[in-house]
Parts: sequence; C-alpha cells; structure tokens
Amino acid sequence: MSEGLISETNIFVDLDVKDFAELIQQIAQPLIDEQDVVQEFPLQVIKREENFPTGLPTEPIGVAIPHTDAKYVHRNRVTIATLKNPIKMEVMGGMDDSLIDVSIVFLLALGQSNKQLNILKKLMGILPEAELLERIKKGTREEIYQIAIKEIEL
Amino acid sequence: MGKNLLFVCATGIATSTAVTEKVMEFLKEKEMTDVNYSQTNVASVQQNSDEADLIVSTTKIPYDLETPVINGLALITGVGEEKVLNAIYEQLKGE
Repeated sequence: MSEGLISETNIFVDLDVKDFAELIQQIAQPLIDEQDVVQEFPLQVIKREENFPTGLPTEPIGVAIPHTDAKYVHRNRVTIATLKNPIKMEVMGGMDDSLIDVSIVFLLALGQSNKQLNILKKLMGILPEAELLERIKKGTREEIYQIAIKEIEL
Repeated sequence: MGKNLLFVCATGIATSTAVTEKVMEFLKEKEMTDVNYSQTNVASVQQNSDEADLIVSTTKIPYDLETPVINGLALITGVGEEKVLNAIYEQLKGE
C-alpha cells in the first residue's frame, strides 16, 4: 500500500514566526504527535541547519528544505509551511555566507536515503517554476494540498 | 585520458546523487563520455579529492584543496543551471 507523504495537518499557511527555530518547533509538532518522528527531531533539524544550511535562492520566492538524518524518522512525511513574513536563512552550500529571505518551507521527514533522493528530485522539478511557487505562497491549506498531490506528486 | 569528477554534499547521499545525474546527463549530451565520477560527504572530501580533476559541491567545503571546486547549488534550484553545467564542461575540457 502506498502511503501518502502529506496530509492537511502537515500544511501551515501564513505562519507568523520570528525565526527558523520557532518555525521548526511549531511545524514539527504534528509529526511528533503522530509519532512520525522522534521527540528530538526538531532539535536535530535545527542543529543540522546550522552546519548544512538548506536555503535555496529560488525566484521570486526563497524556499528552504530543512531535514535531518533518517534515524530520527519513523514514517515518511513532508510538511509544507508558508510564512507571513520571510525569515532569513543561509544558502545551501553557504559559499559566501549570504542570507536570503525564505517564505516557503518544505520540512522533510524521510526515513530512507533513496526516499530522500526521490523527494528531492520531485522538489527540484518545481523549484524553477516561479508561477507554481507564487501559487503555493498564496494558497490556502486545501490549495497547497492539491498542488502537493497533483503537481509535486508527493 | 578520462577525467575524474567528484560530487560532494553534506552526507554524500541524496543531494550529490541528484546533482550527479544532472551533470552526467549533460556531459553525455555534449558527447563527453570519458568522465568517471564518485560521490562523497564533505567530511571525507580531503581523503577523496586527490584523484579528482574537478569537484562539484552543494555544501561549503571548509578546507583548502588543490582541486578546483564549482558550486552546484544552481543544479538544485534550476536558477542559472545552464551556466554551471557549461562551466563544468569547460573546466573538464580545458585541462
């Protein structure tokens, strides 16, 4: 049986958070409640982000794809959050330590590396699509869910 | 003589694989077929870079290496992707 990677409880719209840590603590809560991840998952995501930032300078809206080691994950889940005000994040690769504004976040809770690759490739497929990113940013929970299922094919 | 390309990301698993597939596909289209590649995580890059002619990385490499490094971020976002693919091609061709 193929299990869905996303449900509406894993979608957060127009969140008002001040920084990355607050964001992750908040959006990881349903994953913890459902025992999709271990308790320390959000802390591990925050820690990894410090060493290996995941901000992506996509146009016209910055995206981030925070994640952590598969061992903190029981069940594969993708959480999507759109932010009321962008947060500053470091760019993946961080060659020049520059910060970008991120307004769309895909929090990846994936338990196997082949699953990570598979989801990463799906996300890479939509990252260059400015119009799709705009629709996610403006979307309601239901609209984002439909985009996730039908267009990103999560 | 074949060139050696080393792909680097944080864990040496997901991101570098996605980037590897894109680059190798592009080189194939350019009919550059004598390229060998391997992948590694950033913590092991020093041990693995000696034989590499070029490194493509999506993570910051906090060491000084003799091997030239190209930032592969554009291959993830798709923004400026052609430019980076061509830079990789030119670098491999030029040596």
